[in-house]
Amino acid sequence: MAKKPQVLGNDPFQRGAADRSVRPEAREKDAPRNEEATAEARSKTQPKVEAQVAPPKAGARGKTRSKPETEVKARSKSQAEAKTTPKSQAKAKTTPKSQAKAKTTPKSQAKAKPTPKVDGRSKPQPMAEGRSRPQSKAEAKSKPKTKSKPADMAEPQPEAASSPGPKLEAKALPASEPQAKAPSQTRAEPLATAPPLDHAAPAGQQPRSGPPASGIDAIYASIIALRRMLHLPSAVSGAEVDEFGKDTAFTERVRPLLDWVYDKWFRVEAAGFEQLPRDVPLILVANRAGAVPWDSVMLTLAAQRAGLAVRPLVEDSIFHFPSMGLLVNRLGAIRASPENGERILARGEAVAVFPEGATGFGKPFRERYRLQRFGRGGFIKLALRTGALVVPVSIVGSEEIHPLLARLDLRPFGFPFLPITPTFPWLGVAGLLPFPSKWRIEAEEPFDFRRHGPEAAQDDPLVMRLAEEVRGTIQTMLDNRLAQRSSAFL
Amino acid sequence: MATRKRPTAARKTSKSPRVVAITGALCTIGRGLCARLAADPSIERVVAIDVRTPEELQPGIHFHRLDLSRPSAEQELADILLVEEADTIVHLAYFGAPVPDAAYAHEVEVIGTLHTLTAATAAQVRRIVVRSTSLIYGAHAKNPSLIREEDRIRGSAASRFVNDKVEAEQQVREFAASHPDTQVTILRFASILGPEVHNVFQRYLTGGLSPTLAGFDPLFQAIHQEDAVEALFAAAKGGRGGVFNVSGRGVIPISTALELVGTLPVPLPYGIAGGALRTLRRVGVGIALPAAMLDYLRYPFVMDASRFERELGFTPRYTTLDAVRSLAPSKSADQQA
Repeated sequence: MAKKPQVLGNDPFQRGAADRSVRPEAREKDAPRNEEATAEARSKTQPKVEAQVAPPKAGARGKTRSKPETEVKARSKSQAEAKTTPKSQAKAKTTPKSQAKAKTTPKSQAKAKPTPKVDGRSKPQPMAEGRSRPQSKAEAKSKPKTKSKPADMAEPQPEAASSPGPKLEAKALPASEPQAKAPSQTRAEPLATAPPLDHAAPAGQQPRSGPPASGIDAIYASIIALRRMLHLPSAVSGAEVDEFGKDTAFTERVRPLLDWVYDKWFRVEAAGFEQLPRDVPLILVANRAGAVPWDSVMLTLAAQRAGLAVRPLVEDSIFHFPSMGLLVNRLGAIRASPENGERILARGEAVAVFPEGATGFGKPFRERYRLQRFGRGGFIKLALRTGALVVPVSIVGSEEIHPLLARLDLRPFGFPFLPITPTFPWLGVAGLLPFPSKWRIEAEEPFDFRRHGPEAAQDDPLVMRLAEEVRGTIQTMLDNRLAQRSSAFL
Repeated sequence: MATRKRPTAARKTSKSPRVVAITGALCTIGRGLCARLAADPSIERVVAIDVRTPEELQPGIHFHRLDLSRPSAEQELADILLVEEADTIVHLAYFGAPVPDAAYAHEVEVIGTLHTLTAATAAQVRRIVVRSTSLIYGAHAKNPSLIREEDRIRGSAASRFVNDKVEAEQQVREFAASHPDTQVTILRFASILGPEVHNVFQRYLTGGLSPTLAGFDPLFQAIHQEDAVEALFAAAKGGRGGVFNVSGRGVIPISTALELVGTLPVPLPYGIAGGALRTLRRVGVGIALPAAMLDYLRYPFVMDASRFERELGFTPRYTTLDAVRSLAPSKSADQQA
C-alpha cells in the first residue's frame, strides 16, 4: 500500500493515455446516439440511482471522501445502463432478423468509453458492492421479462427500484464492519465457516431467482464477440485493450454467456466476498484445476458480483496454448509474475492467484482437491512487499469439470501437453465443454502478514512457512466443503 | 533503480551540446534528427555521417561519407569527430529490417558499434546516444506484461537480426560501465512507424497479406517517427544517461494494427508456420517477417516506457494507435503512384 501512489504516478496509461487512444471520430459519431440513449435511460434510472445512493450515504457516515465519488459513479452507472436498455428495447420491437443489427449498436457505444467503468471499479470502495449488486439484479430481471412479454417494459422497473433499499442495508452493514466480525471467526473450526455462508447464501442465489439471460441469447452475443476476435468476416473492427491485454468491450459482450454459465451451468454459490475489506490491496489465493481456466473466470465473476475488481494471474503455460491464452487474456487474466502482481495491486485492483501453478494445471483426476505444492511462495512475497491481505478461497466443483485422465506430451510441437479427458479430444471442440458440476466458491477471513514487514520477503523460511499456512487453511476449507456435499452435481 | 541512476546523473554535466555528429544520418530518423538539431540555435554544427551520399545537403549540416564496416572506420570516424570538434555522437547506424547479407549486417551493427565507441573515446566525445530496439527483449511467454529496462533481455533464439542488436547493445552497456566519464544513453525504441519509415514491422503491417499465428494475437506497441526523432533530440540535448524504453502510449492487439492498415491476416497454425514461411522464401516469395521472428507474433514484448518520460520530460505526441494509423495513408498513396 505504501508503494501505491509512487507506482500509480509512473504508469503512463493512467494519465489520460486511454482517452487519447479513443478515436475522435468514433467519439463524435457515438455522441448524439449516446446522448439520446442516456437521456432516455436516465429518465428511467434516475429514481433508481437515487434510491441506491441514498442508503450508503447514511451508512457511510464519517466517510466524507466517498461522497463525490458516489455521485460520479452513479452517473457512469446510469450511462452503463443506457448501453443495455436500448438493446433490450430494440429486441422487444424488432424482428429477429434485425436483432443482429440492434445488438451491434450498444457495442460501439461500449467501445467508445471502456475506461471510465474500469476506473470506477478499480477503486475499491466499501460501498461499491452495495450499489453494483442491485444494479446487476435489476438488469438481470428486466432482460428476460422483456423477452417473454415485450409490452411489459415498465413492470420490472418499479420492482427493481423498490428492492435495493432494504436489501442493500443488509449487505452494506457487514461490509462496513468486517473487522468487528473477523475476530469472532476462528480459522480452524469448520463450524465457523457456517455463519458467512448462511448470511451470503441469498446473495449467491439472487441472480438465480431471475435468470440473467437465456442461454441461446448469451451464446449468440458471445459468438459475435468471438467472431470479431478471430477476424472472421462481418466482424466489427477496432479492439481497444488496456496495457495488460484486457478488452473491456469484449468482456462486456461475453458477460451474458459467462453469467449464464455461472448461474445455470455451474450454479455457483459464492460466499464471503462481501465481507472482504475494500480499502487494502487483496490477494485471493485459490485452488486450481483443469486445463481450461474456468475457475479463474468464475472466481473473477463471483468477486465482481460482490463489487470487487479482480484480475487473475495465471501460469504462463496457458499462454502457450493457441486461443485459450488469448481468450483469458482479453477477459482480464495476465501472466503470473511479481511485476504484474505489483502493477495490478498498484492500480487498486485485487489479484487472484493459483499458487499450484502448472502442477495444478495438469492435476490428474485422482488428485482432485489435494492441493499441490504452493510454488515458491511468490504470492507471499508479493503480499509482504505490498502489504496486501491474503484471502484464502476454496473453489469446490471446479476440479470435476475436466477429469484429466492422461497427458499427451506435446512439447516438440510447442505446447506443454494435450490433456486427455473422457470427452477430449474424442469429441473435438465439444469435448472441451465442462461437466456441469455444482460450484461453491468461498472466501474466508484474510491473513494479515503486514506485521512481518516488507523486508520479510527475503526471508525464505518464513515465506515458505506462511505459504504452507495458507495452503493448510485452503485445504481445510476444501475438506470441510467436500464433506458437506453429497454429490458433485448437486 | 533510481539509486543507481542518480549518482551518474549528478556526476555528468548535462551541458547542452555544441557539435552533434550523427552516424547513419540518412535514415528517416537520422534525417529528421539532423533537421531538428540544425533548427536549434544552441547547436553550432550538425555532422552527418552515412555510407550513402545524400542527394541534397541542407545548409548548416556537414556531411562525411563513411562505411562503418570497414576495418579503418574507427580511425576515420575519430578523425572526423576531432576535426569537427564533436562533443556528442548519436549512433543510428542499424538496420531496421533483416537484410539478405547477414554477415554484412553483423559487421555494420556489431563491429560498427564497436568502431563508433572506440572512435568516441579517442575523440573524447562527452555524450553518446545509441539507438536500440524493443525487439531485444524477445517475445516470450515469461515476459512481464510491461517490460522494464532492468528486466531480462531474452533476445531471439533463431533470429540473427535480433541477436546482432542484442550484441551491439551489450557492447554499449559494457562501454558505459567502463567509461563513467562519458554519458551513454541507450534508447530502446518500440517499433518505429510512420509514413517514411522502413523497418520490419512497417513491412509486416503494410504487407497487403501478412501471416499471423492462429490463436495468438499479441499486444503491439509502436512509436511514431516524429516522436522517435524528438526522443533522440531530448537524449542528445542532455539529461541523464542510462537505458530507456521509448514508446508511444497505449497498446493494441496486432490484429487491430493489421486491420487499421488494411492488411489481410493469414492465420497459420504455429506448428507449420515456420516451415511454410521458409518454403515461401526459398521459392522466392518474400514475406515481410522472417520465420525466425515468428515468436514476435505469438507473445507480447510490450515495454514500460514511463521512465524515459519521467526522467527526460518527454511526452510522446502520438499514441501507438496514431502511429499505426500513420501507415495507412502512405500505403494507399504508394499504390496510386
